[in-house]
Amino acid sequence: MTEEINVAGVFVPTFVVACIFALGLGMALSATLKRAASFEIKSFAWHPALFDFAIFVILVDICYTLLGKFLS
Amino acid sequence: MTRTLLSRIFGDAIFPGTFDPRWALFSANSFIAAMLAIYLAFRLGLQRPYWAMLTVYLTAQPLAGAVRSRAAYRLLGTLLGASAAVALVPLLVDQPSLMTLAITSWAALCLYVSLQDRTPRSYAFLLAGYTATTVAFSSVAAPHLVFEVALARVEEIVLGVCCATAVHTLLFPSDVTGALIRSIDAAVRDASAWTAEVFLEHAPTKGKAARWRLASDVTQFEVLSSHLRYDTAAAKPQNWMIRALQDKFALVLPMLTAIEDRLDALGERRPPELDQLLSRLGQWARAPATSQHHSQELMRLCAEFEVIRPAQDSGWDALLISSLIAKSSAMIETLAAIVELNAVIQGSQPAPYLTRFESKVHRAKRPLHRDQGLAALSVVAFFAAVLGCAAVWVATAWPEGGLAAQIAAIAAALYSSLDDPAPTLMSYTLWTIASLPIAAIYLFVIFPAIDGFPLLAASLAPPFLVIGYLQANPRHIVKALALGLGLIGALDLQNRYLADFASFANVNAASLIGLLSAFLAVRAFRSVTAKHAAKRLIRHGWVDLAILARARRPMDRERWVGLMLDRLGLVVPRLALCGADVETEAGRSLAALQMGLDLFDLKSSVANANDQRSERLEGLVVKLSNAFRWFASGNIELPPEEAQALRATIDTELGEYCKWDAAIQRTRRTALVGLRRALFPDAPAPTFDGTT
Repeated sequence: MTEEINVAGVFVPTFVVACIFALGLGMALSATLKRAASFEIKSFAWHPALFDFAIFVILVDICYTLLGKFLS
Repeated sequence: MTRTLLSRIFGDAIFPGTFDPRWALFSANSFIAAMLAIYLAFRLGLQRPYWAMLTVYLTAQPLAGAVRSRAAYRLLGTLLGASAAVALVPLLVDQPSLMTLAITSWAALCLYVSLQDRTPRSYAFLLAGYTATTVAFSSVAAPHLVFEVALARVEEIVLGVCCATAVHTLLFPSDVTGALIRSIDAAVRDASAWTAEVFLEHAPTKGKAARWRLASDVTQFEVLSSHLRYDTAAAKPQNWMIRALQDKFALVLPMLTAIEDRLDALGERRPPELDQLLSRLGQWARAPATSQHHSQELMRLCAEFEVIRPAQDSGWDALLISSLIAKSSAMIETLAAIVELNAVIQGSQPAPYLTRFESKVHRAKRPLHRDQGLAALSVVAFFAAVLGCAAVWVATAWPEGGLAAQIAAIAAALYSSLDDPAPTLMSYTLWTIASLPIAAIYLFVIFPAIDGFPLLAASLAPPFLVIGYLQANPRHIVKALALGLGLIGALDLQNRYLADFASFANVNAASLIGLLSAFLAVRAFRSVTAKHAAKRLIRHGWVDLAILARARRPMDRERWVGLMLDRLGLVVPRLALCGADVETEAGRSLAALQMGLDLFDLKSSVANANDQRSERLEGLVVKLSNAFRWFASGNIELPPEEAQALRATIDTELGEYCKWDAAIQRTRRTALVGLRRALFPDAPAPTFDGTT
């Protein structure tokens, strides 16, 4: 797969782009869940910040895989 | 002996008797984050790995939400500053003097903007300013590499920010929500206890410092709630709830002081039925959540009492009682709202119960006090420090001059929100000097003897764990930051061992010259004493009151009260610091706040009724505005003739409104009584022809 993506002449590592996408996706997901669900899902988590981080890692992995597929 | 010496240097922070495990945890987290940042910087082959480590210590805060918000603002500021440098340097590459001026002006503008905002958001602008100077001055020798320098700076800061955020968030985080909820709960209990005390004991409880804390608490809620969005807690109170609570809390101090004042003025002439009513109010206020009475019931009792009394009594005492009842009723309503909001914030009641508040709460941010004059002086000091270093740099072709200018920019900006940043800067400089021998030992004794990252981390652990522990203690934060940042900067950790004494001496001499030039510039242009700062705050309060009196358009009551209360919270510690009589001086500021509330009532009643009397009230308002301007120019008392004329005007108006009992007249009467008591507390009671 391509390890760097050309963004307006600047070569950015694919991993960084995946992280940025995952961050945006995570925030959008969290906001949507907050609106849609009448309860706070994170309140069921033992460690809310760790829960957030775990979701972020999963999203990074998904984004990285998808970017790799699209760019290869 | 050793213990005495160490405790003198470090305070009591490092001894087992006062060992705080939370601070130790914070220190361990910071160290883990710093080592993670430096390890990743080495692995990624970044140019200046120590920037990532510096960022970890600059971002570290005891509360996880605060770390995340600071990280976000630091990242945003760095991006903005680096972009400004990348935009400006290529444009002015042939004009180094003009480029220096342009970059310094950009940084000064950012500093000015950051000083207009006292919440943590200001950090973004601060960073936008000094990142631009750092990037631009680092790339003066090779301007074509400005993009690379900016990119390296952004990469290292992103790395530092990510490591600090991840470690402080994941390893035993302490959330902002818990701290905010605890401080709100304590403030609610204080307000209830004070209200009960005023109603039950009937005597002014002047001289208690705790009440002044209430003013600064409201600002503290604002600062803490700005971190809420970034907090790690699962369930966070919504910002509108905190705003609603702040709006209500802002009224407690002026209203309770007004009630105390009316009780003081009435003395023993209180009718027994009034005592009875007050004791019922006091019993409710002692435990509002569990009381058998409901606030609505008590407010109804107050309304009934107000209707009955004027028929029996007349004259000044009747007016005082009427004002007392009106204020008491408003106080009960406010306290009930505070208790309800607190229950929702604590999570003991569902939020929909209070949705009626949501529509009333202003979504706009609450304004905090801003001092344009002091901000302008900070900008002048910043220019003097940076341009002074830059001039010496250009004139002498000093190779390290750029570094001196960078450090001068950071130092002149970093503590510019303080009244007098000079002592803090001097302390910072001294502790930076203290870090140099430690750095020299590491560079020339320890580092040559070790190899590999694990040994590097193990050798750095002792000083950085102590520094992190000191950083957690608000008393030692400046010395910890100076030691930590001085040490990290002087070590200049790289992948390879590159120590060279000449370069070590040159770089650190330039840093110290930068720090000293910032100190001299700040001392020359910016330093103000606590007394002067308090005077400025008090003057701003009176000027705002005069503007309110003259305002043609209606002003926002909550915003105005919030601003005045914030000033009161700021003025009290400064008065205490300069040894002034806090009760008298802060009491005058509080009186200004009370008069503002009365003026709001008076002006709204004028706006609601366009009769002939309203026009006369306009005349009174103009006189009041002139009086407030007189106080703003530093006078304690009005000239005798003006005082007499103003008092006579208020008394004439009061005499008019004694005869009527419609709601609008009652509002005006209460407001006029409040103004008369605040302006002329020692004046004899007025006599009203035809009514007495």
